[in-house]
Amino acid sequence: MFYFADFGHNKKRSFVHDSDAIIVGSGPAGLSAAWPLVEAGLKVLMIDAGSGDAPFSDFPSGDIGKFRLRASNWKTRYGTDLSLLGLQGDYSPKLMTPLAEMVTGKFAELNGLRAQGFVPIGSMGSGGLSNIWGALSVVFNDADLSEFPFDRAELDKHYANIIRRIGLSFGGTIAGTNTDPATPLGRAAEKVFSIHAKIPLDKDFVLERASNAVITQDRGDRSACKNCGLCLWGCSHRSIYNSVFELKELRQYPNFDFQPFTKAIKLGSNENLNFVEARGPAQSRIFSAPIIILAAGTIATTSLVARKIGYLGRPIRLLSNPAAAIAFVIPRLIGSDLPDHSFSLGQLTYEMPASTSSCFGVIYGADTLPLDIFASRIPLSRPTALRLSRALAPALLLATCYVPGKFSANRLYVSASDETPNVLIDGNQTASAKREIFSAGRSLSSKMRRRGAFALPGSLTISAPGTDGHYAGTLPMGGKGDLATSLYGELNASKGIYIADGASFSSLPAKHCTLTIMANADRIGRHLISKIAMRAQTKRNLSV
Amino acid sequence: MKKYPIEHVIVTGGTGYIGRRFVKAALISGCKVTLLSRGREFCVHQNLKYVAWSLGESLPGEAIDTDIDPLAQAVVHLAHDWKNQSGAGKTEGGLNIDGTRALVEQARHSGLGRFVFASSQSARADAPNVYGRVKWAIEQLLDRPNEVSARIGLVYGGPQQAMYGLLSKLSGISPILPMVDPRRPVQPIYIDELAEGLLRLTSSDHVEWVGLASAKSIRFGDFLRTLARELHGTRLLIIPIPIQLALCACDLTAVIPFIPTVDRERVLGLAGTQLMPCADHLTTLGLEIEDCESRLAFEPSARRTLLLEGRILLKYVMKAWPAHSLLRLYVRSLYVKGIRQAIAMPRSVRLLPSLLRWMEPFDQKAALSRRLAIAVAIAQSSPQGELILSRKNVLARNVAVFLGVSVDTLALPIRVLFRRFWS
Repeated sequence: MFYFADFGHNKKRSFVHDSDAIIVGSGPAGLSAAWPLVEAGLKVLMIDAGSGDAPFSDFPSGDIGKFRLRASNWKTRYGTDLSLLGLQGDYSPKLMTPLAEMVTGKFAELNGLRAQGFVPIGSMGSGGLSNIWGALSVVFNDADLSEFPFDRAELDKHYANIIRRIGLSFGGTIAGTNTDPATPLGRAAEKVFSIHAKIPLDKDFVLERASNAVITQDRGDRSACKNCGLCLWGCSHRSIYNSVFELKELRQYPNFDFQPFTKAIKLGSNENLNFVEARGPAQSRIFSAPIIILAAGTIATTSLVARKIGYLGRPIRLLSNPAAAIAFVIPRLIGSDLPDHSFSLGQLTYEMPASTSSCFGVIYGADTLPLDIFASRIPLSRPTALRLSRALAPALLLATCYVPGKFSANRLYVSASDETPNVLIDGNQTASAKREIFSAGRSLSSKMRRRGAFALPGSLTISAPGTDGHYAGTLPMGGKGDLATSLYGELNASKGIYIADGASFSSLPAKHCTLTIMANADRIGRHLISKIAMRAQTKRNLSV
Repeated sequence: MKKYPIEHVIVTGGTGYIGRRFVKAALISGCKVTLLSRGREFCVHQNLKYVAWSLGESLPGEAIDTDIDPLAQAVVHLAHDWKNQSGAGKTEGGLNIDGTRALVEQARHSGLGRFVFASSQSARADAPNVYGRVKWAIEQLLDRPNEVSARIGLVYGGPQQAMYGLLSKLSGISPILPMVDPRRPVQPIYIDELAEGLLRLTSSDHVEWVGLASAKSIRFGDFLRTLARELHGTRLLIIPIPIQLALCACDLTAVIPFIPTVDRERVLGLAGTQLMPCADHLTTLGLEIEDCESRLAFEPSARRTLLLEGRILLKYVMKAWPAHSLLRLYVRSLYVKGIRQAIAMPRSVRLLPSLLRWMEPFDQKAALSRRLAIAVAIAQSSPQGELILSRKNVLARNVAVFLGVSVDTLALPIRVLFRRFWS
């Protein structure tokens, strides 16, 4: 059974108008925009295609050591229908799980989405992609924000709001906010990090512990990370942040209304009201409010906006991070035992600001990953490849390598169609993207070699455009023209419609964007509080 | 005059290879069935009646159902006596021809609505085998508009009996099979398709003869190779031999113990098969014939072959015989991908799966590579595989990996030689 309703055609329509703001989408962006508004006492309605609960809850228990010996672990790995068994493709392992299948399945279908040369990743479930995200949460610096209409200093308090709300594990302070102690490093990452600490500081290679939205201290009904090593298959301890957790808290506020199984299909407006037409399982409803905040994810948001402002059939720039992965080996660890406990999300992050454009990446341990990912790349006989990958797994580090969104050349087209969206994504990268990635790969290899990790020859794999999932920049803040938004993400072409997700990013740096999307949504939400209050004041004055 | 459909079928030879499936199909369709047979061992069913009879006797009176209009009753004559295809020349065929004549005359006398005779694709006046000539002679007896002969092609599927049983045994007995004229086209038909065809023939208005076989012929050699792969999971090399040698070999099989005896008649029958145009017959009967590969893929033996394949590949990958639960998982994961056909493996690999190391394809997209990827995935996610991979002695484990890499390096040139083998 699928976890959200089948949005069939229906003609019944009813009209709902009693909120100050409508938020479309319950992912990290939607929740971050909602919190300040709800806490300020405003009436907020959130509409979401999902059920209001996480779409998947069948997480394995115990630890990775026990998991490997569990006779039924194939169900967790490949799904009870075995549909993921023997799949070949250069996808990130986190996209090849039954959990990911459940979260991202039907995304393209329900959004009328076709793609060429692009793998569209998105979710129609509550919590959006935070159900399967890698949880890496980094802050942008001034260089990253150079094209944004605001700087790091302005964003800092919003970062702080988010970090206090969701909890990060890093060890130090980020944006002036204390974080939980860091998760322990795996043996391979530990080796590299300890050598790094001993060699002279290299300003061209910033290697840090990864800051993840994973708590290492208990927080309400979320428990601290147990290092069970099963992150890939879903966290049964709720240590990894998922915006669905917050949805439950928000729903306790009387001024917050949540409409599940309600998929926004169309926007409209008159002089002082904006409308969202939404389709539910039983009927279509039109919700109206002075303000609509779109946080449905870049693709769905852009599709709604383009149809609202009549920007049809014309190319829209869609930024994503061209990415690659490289495997490194620490020779001394080859053949050692696999750990029974481990933390299997990002261990370290690196930044190379000096390469022609900055390059950013995450370093993962490989000791909790399925072996067939490596075995399929080793050109030896299968039994040897399997045993060799088993021997290599504890000694491997997998580094991702992202370059800024300006190296992508994706085009998104929304075509005219009354209610069913019809979106085409033409994926591409600039001519220099590959060169950029290869040169970044080379410098990363040499930096890592100094730190005792050697790149496996031929292991650099460029990911298909779109598999990074970092989509942004279709409606840039501070941009000009209809297809742009104001300083606070308000559509130039349609007043009262705010863009709180990645779509309103002015540019896409190489760094993971989720935390900044959340901070920006918080910023927009707080801006709207004063605006709505002002509007209410004017109204009152008029009536007096 | 009331005409068809037929409500009652009187069957001779109903306990044979084709007969059993035909009786089942007739009973399922709701017909009453009377079996004319020497015994009554077949089955119990409210619509099924046994009447004692043997070939040569006339149609017994109690076989005809008095409650049903005789015109709605049909005789389907499948019985054939192999032992008394007596003599040669014009006098042959004794019991088969006389027996059929007795049946037909009584059926005509009782005014039964339809008489269907199971003939053969090899039925010809000048057929090289007695069987073909006898069938042809019997066809000549059936000259009324309500009498029809079904010229049946090469029947396969179901229990391994009759010609199908012989061919499936032959295809699995050795990697090399000497065969007369393997390029000769044959027209196979799945046993249930045939049963359905015969049943439809009882209610159709075809006259003279109707071909019940695939309209699309395949080479006999290819048919045998398909049997070898689907039923035994092996490859088959077919060496063409002259017919005289084949007949000699047939005589030899009768004296050599432990191998199936091949009747000269069967060889002559195959050698004398000619292409039979039957596309129109199939269309008018509304019968669709699937190709034999996809039919065989749904036979229980095909699943056994896949289990065997899983056993070989998992043994190769794990270097230990896999638990049966892993084999079932292997077959299930193939079914999920819509794969039902085994890959033909050389016999040597069946006996010694580790030989695959010397012939494994490089191409990750080759069919065998994909199945090996499935075997690897199953092995690494199973407790059995995990225990094998995580052997406690670290030194032994690492020495094994080192040796594995060395042997693989040695095996490279040989794998190159085998590159075309799997395509």
